[in-house]
Amino acid sequence: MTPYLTKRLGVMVFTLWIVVTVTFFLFRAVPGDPSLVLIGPEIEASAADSIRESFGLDRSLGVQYWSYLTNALQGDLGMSFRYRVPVSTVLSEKLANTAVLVLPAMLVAFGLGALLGSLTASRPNSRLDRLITQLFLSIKSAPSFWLATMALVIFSLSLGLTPSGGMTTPGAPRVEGFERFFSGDVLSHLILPLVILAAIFTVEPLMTMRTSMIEILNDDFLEFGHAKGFSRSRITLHAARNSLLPMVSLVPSIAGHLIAGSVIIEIVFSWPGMGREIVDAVNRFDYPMMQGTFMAIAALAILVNAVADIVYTYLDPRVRLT
Amino acid sequence: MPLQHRSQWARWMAYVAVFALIAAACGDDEEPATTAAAPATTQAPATTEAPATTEAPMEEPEELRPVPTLRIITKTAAAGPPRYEQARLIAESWTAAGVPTEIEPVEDSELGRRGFTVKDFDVYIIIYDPTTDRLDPENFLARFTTAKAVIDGSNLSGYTNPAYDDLYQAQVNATTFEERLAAVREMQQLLHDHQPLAPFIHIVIGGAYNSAGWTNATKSVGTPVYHFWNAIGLTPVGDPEPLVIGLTSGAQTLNPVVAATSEAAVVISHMYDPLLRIGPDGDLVNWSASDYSIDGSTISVTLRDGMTFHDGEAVTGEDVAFTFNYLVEKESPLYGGRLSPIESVTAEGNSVEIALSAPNAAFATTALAQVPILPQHVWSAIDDPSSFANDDPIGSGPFKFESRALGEDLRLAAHTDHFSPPAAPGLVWVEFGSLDGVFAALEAGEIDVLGDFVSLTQLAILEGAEGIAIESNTGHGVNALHYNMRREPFCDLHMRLALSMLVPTEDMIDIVYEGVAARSRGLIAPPLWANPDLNGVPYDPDGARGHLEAAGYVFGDDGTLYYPPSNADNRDMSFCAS
Repeated sequence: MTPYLTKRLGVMVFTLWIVVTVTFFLFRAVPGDPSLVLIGPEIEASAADSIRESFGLDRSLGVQYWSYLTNALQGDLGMSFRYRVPVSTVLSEKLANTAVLVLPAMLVAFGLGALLGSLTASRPNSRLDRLITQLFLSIKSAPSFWLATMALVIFSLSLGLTPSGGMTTPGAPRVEGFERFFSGDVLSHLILPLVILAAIFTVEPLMTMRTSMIEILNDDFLEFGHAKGFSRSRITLHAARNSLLPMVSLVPSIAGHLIAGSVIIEIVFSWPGMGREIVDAVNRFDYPMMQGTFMAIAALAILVNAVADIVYTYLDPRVRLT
Repeated sequence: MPLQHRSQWARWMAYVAVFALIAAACGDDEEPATTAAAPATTQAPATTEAPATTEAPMEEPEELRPVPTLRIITKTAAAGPPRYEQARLIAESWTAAGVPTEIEPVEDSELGRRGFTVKDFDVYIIIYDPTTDRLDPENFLARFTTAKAVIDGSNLSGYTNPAYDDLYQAQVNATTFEERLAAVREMQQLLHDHQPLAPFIHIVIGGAYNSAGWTNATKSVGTPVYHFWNAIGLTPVGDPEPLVIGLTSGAQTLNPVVAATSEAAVVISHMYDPLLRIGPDGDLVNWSASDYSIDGSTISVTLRDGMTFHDGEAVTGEDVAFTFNYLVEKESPLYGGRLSPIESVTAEGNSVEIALSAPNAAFATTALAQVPILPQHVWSAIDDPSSFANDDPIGSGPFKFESRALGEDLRLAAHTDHFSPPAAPGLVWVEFGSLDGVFAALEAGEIDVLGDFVSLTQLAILEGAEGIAIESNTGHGVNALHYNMRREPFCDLHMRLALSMLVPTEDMIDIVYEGVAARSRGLIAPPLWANPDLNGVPYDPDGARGHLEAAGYVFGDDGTLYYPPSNADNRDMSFCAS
């Protein structure tokens, strides 16, 4: 077990290093000049020079890369060009905002997916089965920006049921700290993007659950249960428990998709999270911010994958780590 | 500040494409396409149109060189629809008149790099926004001096004229307003005669606010509604509540020393006081200074009594002297250059004496009315301001910092001890994802003031909305073409004049601005500094052809334009930077 964990950890660090390196050079290969984006085309050469200097952009790429790497190892991701505050400060704020949106969406997607999956599997090819699977497949197939915009137009602009965007009502008194995420104001802003995001990602858990459930319902041990005269609900419960395994291996890939998918949702709903920050950072050539956001997302995806791998060994005794 | 509505979607999609392309594109750069049009012409052009050569009739017809297809660089249609549209209309008009022209849309930052850093363009279409510091003509006029004609300077056109430089220096060192005005107007005449730049439109700037909830609005030069005087003057009709401003460009750094954008300067100006301010009518008014006098190159300022910073410390002359020295020493992008005419600053109690290296007529407007007074007791301890976030700014301004959530909002509270305290108890800037979001929030009463630069045309959507007042000003910004005089076609005065005569200004006003914009008569918009004798370059296709033919250009049968043959070359190649 321990050698496996050590090896796993080594691979994680290596992967992260690759991501940092690739993004570092990739972003700098994009044509354009960060100092000009920041000031706009109105500056004097001397001002642009002093800005480039203060960003460290006057040094060679190799030197920049080395200092970025050594600083990052000490937890210093640099100062955002645009905000002029440490990247880690911005990241923690934006990550919290995104987590408020993505974590509940993930819970809803998996909960609803498991529930509907077992429901449809118990009556495969029935009218209800077809209705549910078709519905969620259609939602998944629609472009998410279109879906989000339509939801915004219908529920917010036409019916006036939900706020039109953002995380809080402009100018409303600010609730500080952790409690803000549970204030009525934030919840009312959260509901629409949350529902859309969850609806988009329900289909994978749903179909996974449905397939593995149908398979398991035909297994010998459930046949035996029937023979013993177990009630239908008890059999479904047994089957559901055994069908949950493939769901665990689904978590890492869905987590990755959710973070990526939330970029679009965040922009449409003006949600001040990581997704919007990535786009802003790219638009404004905010190199430290771009690297910070990509690194955070990569680290998250890598971590979730590793955790899922490890958890799997406990859930399925057939898998052993050596 | 972009003056147009950004399509977030197209931008995002474009970036996906950009990332996909990087792998392929990051190899070797392509050659600038400007020369690409040249090699196609090996056959001699029609000789019928060539000017008769009486002196050497027996000579072989000279092989004419074609003028390469001209390229106008502009923002992409997604990033700047109005600019792109105007570039398109101009290129159409030039092509139709026999000067083959294409447009080349590029990303914002690349546009800036090619224009301002490396001067890799033929024609650059620019929209100079009506920022506060352009109320003084200095900002525009400096862009045509020889000193700025370097490769990464702001003289995009590459215009170098010693007579112009002399006038520029004369207006800088002028001691009376009349003296300066005369020089400024003469410079505009030179720019008009030599056309390094073709100014064509002054946009009408719109502003909107919630007039049902707020009274006591002031109209100001520049942006008609969103300005400092309304921030302190607008008074809530009902219960006291903070004034909420909605905008798409979020608050940036709160650190005045490293701030580099005009958006950041606006925010800073609410928390920090300058010595003077530009009043609603464009005149200088005393602010932190209760009095000031200019005597040649010496400026004496007396500070107002009893001013305090937000932490309770008194504002003294020492703070002013410290600030000026500090901003120059730390090379502040926004303020360092403005303070560079200073030779020395001395302070005693409430009086400050500023010695300039030479008389400078614009100094009060460009420096004293802009530079924020920093508290010495805070900044003297800060050696490296670039790593200082200043996330709890202490100034002496009418608003003090309350809180900020990045990407959401910035809140300021009234500094009630100020000599001119705001009518509302606070001020909030709220950041939106799109301009549509700002409009919707204004209509819904969620915000009180529109904080983005928009043209009046864009505000049509709010017309007739209940409780919303719309104001407008003909802006002092300008839409213009910079000809790159470093390149052969544009070094010729006749070519520049001809191209300027082919700018379809009226069409652009009708099509792009739906009739709401003013035709430029010169670089500087009326009233104060403009040269009243100028009336722009009129749209005149025949006149343009006349200019080209007089200079000796040859129109080929196949639509190609040729440079004049060497024996009939009447081009005027003066004033070009190399």
